[in-house]
Amino acid sequence: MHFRVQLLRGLHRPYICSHEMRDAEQIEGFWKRSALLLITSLILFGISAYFGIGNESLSKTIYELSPIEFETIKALFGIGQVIQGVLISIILILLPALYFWVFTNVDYKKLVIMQLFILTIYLIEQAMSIPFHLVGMDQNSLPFSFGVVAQYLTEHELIINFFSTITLFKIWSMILQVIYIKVLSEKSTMISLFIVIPFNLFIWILIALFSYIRFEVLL
Amino acid sequence: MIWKKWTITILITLFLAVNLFLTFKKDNKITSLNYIDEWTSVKEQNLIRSKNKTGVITPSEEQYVYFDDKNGQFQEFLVKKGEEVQVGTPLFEYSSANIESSKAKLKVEITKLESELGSIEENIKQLESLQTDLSADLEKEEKDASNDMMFIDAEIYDKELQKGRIESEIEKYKALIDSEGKILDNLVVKSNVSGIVQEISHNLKNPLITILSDQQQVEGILEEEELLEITEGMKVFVTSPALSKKKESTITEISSNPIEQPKVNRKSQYHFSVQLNEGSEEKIVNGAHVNLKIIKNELNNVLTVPLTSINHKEAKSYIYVLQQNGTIKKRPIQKGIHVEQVQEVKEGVEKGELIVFQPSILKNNAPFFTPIDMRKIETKLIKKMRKKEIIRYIGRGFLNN
Repeated sequence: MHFRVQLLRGLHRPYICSHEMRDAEQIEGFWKRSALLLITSLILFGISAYFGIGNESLSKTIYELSPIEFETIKALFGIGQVIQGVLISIILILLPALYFWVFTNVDYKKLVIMQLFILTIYLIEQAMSIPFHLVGMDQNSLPFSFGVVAQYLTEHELIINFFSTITLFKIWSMILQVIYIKVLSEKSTMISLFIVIPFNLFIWILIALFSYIRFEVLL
Repeated sequence: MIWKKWTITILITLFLAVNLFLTFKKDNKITSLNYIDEWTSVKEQNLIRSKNKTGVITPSEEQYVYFDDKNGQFQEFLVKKGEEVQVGTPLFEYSSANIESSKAKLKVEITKLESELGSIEENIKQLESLQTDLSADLEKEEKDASNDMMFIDAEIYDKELQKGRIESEIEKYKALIDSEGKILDNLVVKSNVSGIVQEISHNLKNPLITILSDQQQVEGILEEEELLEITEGMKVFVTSPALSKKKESTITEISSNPIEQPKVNRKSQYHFSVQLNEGSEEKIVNGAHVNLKIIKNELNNVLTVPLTSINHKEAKSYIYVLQQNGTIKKRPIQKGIHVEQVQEVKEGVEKGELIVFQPSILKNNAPFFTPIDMRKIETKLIKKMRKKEIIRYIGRGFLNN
């Protein structure tokens, strides 16, 4: 059986796709789609960095530096952001797949394909955030995250960070993962949930902590 | 399956709606940022409010020279039509015949009076010598002598009086001769403007000579409403393709009567003129059309911001300042005048402060971020930077959340 990697179909028809993938012996278009996603990610984070999204920590230097210095430093900062974005994309493909591979007996490559679908969702989310950032919403106030509600309920930054990491896109990704893991590994829904949810929670807490500590200030 | 899709769609929509409502609710506590794509600094500069008009070069005056037959008879013209004259150039001459003859008469009169004066002086001398003789007799006590003495005294007094009168008469005639002399000098009529002789009336009809002054002025027309803000004495810059440099001058006159008969249903127009300053090497022909820049108001060294940077709310004006701590501050200001896109700020900003060029919806006290301006990046600067610095900034971007 041949299986062609089709990103949008993978999101749209998860049941059909996962069954096809399970029965597949040969996979087509894997490298092409991976490359496409990584290039898209490069462009997307490039655009985001070009608009200066996330560079507010540099704004304090606007009076100290000459316009040329200011823009140059922002450009260097932007290069860092793009590297981060592309690296996160790569990690997003490989690392969760590794985790799921450990807990199931599914072919690693198939899990990587599943993560390509997840990366697609992640990139859609990033693309959709850009206009919201430009009208003045920060990372914690995006309308498709739970950060807004969290800000009304608490003032604790770590909790707000955690909830703002949880977005409709993340929930969508998680549901997809559950479906694919269940079909690919032929495990029960309960076990699939048990594999997927704690892992995602762990990642979200990690991201929340990461924003809370603000490593970039240390440099 | 269909109801499931619908539920999900409705839930998602509801979730987004609630979030957006909470985000844009008035006085919310939602953290936000300001995206500032263009900013500028508060500048100190001179503001000039001006009005552009067009005008035409005309000679500033026509000088008419008149012939007056009381001054004598006409003798001859000393200039020709079209000739250039300076201040003091003789224009025409009266005949001197009459005056010379009256002068001679007066001189005869004076010689007559002078001889009369001589005889009176002789007379006085005789009387005085008589007096000395008598005073010698008086010492010999002769009664008659004192009577004679008194008589002689009176006589001398009388003669002195006559003498004085004749002397003053002579003075008078001398003065008359002087004045005739002056008239003689005035027989030549001189020009008191410099310019060109435009017209000469050979049949001695007044005005005898018309001189077109070479002083030039610019004439223009002001609309009724412009009269309210343009006054005499305002500075004007005159420019023209025919002039290499702009000329500075002032409005010398604005006519108080409109050009045409005032009418209720028509706007009135008024003449104004601008004297062109002398001493310029450049010549411009009469009738040339020029551009005028009338300076209505000139402010020196005032703080200015672009007009676009100001937001109005309930009759108050605000600008958004980029603060040193990386946040945006909404600040009220006192406006002054504005010239086109430049607004004077009287109060509320300092020179060099950075402000948002065109504020949209901005959140007070929230941090701001700015896009990268590719045109301003210099690779030379990156080459000059130490490697450690470069890695530090890339690293900060890399670790940014």
